[in-house]
Amino acid sequence: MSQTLDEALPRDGAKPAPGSAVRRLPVVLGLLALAAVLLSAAALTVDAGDRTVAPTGWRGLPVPGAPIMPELTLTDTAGRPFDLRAETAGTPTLVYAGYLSCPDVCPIHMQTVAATLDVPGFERVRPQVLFIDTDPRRDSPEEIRAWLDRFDPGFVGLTGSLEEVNAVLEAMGLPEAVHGEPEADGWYEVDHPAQVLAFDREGVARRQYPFGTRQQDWVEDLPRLMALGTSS
Amino acid sequence: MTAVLAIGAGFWCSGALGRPWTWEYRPLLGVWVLSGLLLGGYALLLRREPVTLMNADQRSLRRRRAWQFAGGVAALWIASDWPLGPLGAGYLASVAAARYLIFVLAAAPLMILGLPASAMRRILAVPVLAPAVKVLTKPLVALLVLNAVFVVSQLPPVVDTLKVNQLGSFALDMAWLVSALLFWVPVLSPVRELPRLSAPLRVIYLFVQSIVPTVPASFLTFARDPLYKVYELTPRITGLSVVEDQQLAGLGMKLVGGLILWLIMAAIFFRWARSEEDMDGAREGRGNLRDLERDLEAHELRV
Repeated sequence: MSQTLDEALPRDGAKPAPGSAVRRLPVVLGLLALAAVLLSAAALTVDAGDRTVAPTGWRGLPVPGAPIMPELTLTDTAGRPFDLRAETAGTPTLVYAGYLSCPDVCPIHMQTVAATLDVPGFERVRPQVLFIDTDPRRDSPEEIRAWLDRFDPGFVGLTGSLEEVNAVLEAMGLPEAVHGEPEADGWYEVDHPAQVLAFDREGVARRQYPFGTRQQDWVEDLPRLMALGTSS
Repeated sequence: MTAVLAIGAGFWCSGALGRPWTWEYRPLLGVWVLSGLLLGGYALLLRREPVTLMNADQRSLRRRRAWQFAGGVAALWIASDWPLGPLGAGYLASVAAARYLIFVLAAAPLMILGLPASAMRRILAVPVLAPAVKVLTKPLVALLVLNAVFVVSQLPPVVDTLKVNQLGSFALDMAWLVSALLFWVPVLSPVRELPRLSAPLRVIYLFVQSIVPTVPASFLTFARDPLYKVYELTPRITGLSVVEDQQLAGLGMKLVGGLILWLIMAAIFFRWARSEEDMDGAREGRGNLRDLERDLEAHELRV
């Protein structure tokens, strides 16, 4: 006959009866805990990347309409004109639009791409990375350069008037950056698209990478991006 | 005309989202409330003790225990309040590892050390708690529970799910604290109803604990890629890369955690060896059984 736990529990000082639930409970708990430890240790070896991999194998998402790199000119941080189409011809290019006061999305995107390019073996897999500044009122070319150098001195910073920048974003199929109303201390918010566009060496936007893209996603996709257009 | 790409989660950055990390002190109200409740509860328990009936040694022990418990709560507060709390929850895996070590190797043992026997017996008198505590503080069970909680709480899906909000972080912290409290009972229990292991077995128990967590900690140390989304997708606030920070977390758990446990083992061993010498002296000097029983009580208190 089965016992309730109360009946199985010993009175003070008495040992539980052999075969009682209380005697078995530590063993059961111990085995469960051991199972949890072993399963968990095995699970720790699971790939850290969590983005759903498309049947094509890409981690990045397709770009509707596959926009072409626009024939527009911005200014780089050295003050030189930068023709987007001409300067990126023949080179896979990552394009991101952001601003220096951004608390998280912008620095995280840049640091993730930079960390990927630091992975051993990526010396030969190096796209051009363009950062288009969407806050020309506050971000000077010198500040943009210093900010980008924190991540990778090879990243190209581009600036222009807000109208010029928005024209580029629109040509790429991205929504325009929006400046909020200034507060009393002069602070204002800057809303901007948060994805990185990946153009192949022919200047076609092949993939987009929203905020949340991880290093492992770039590790998987960058070699594929670099290889696009090389077989023809 | 090129179609505008979808605006959705991950595709639009509003400046209203997120705050950059600052080194300006921002207290966490919940941590202060919890610390206050623990200290207040302890003070209420102490008030019921018959202080006037205590001799000088007992009063001294009572004071020492109060300081030990307060020290445990202080360690809990340090690990949970700004800056360690927010840094460990959302920025740095190495700080999360340091918090774990503080919870397990400082806060929990000090709180158990500081708990008077009368308070522990009151806890054991609660009908629902008593059988669970008796089972969960059995050495093998306590050891397995602590390490199961540790390993599960290091799993990337668990970390990335729970640490993104305060409730999840709190749940993880409480799991760490409760499993650590259960772990230390076989070593530091103040009551005979939950007997302490003998000194040699305590050393073995702690030795096993110094070895087991090195396995999951090794995954952190030797991983080449970021394991945790929550620590990867956050602005860097130190010069460490994500992987370097992760490696530091693993090394900290293995080296610092192991060192502290070995120091505790050494203290237990040498105290045991000294009490064995005292016992030998008592047997040679006095043949009185009553004196021997008194020595045994004193021996239990010290060791």
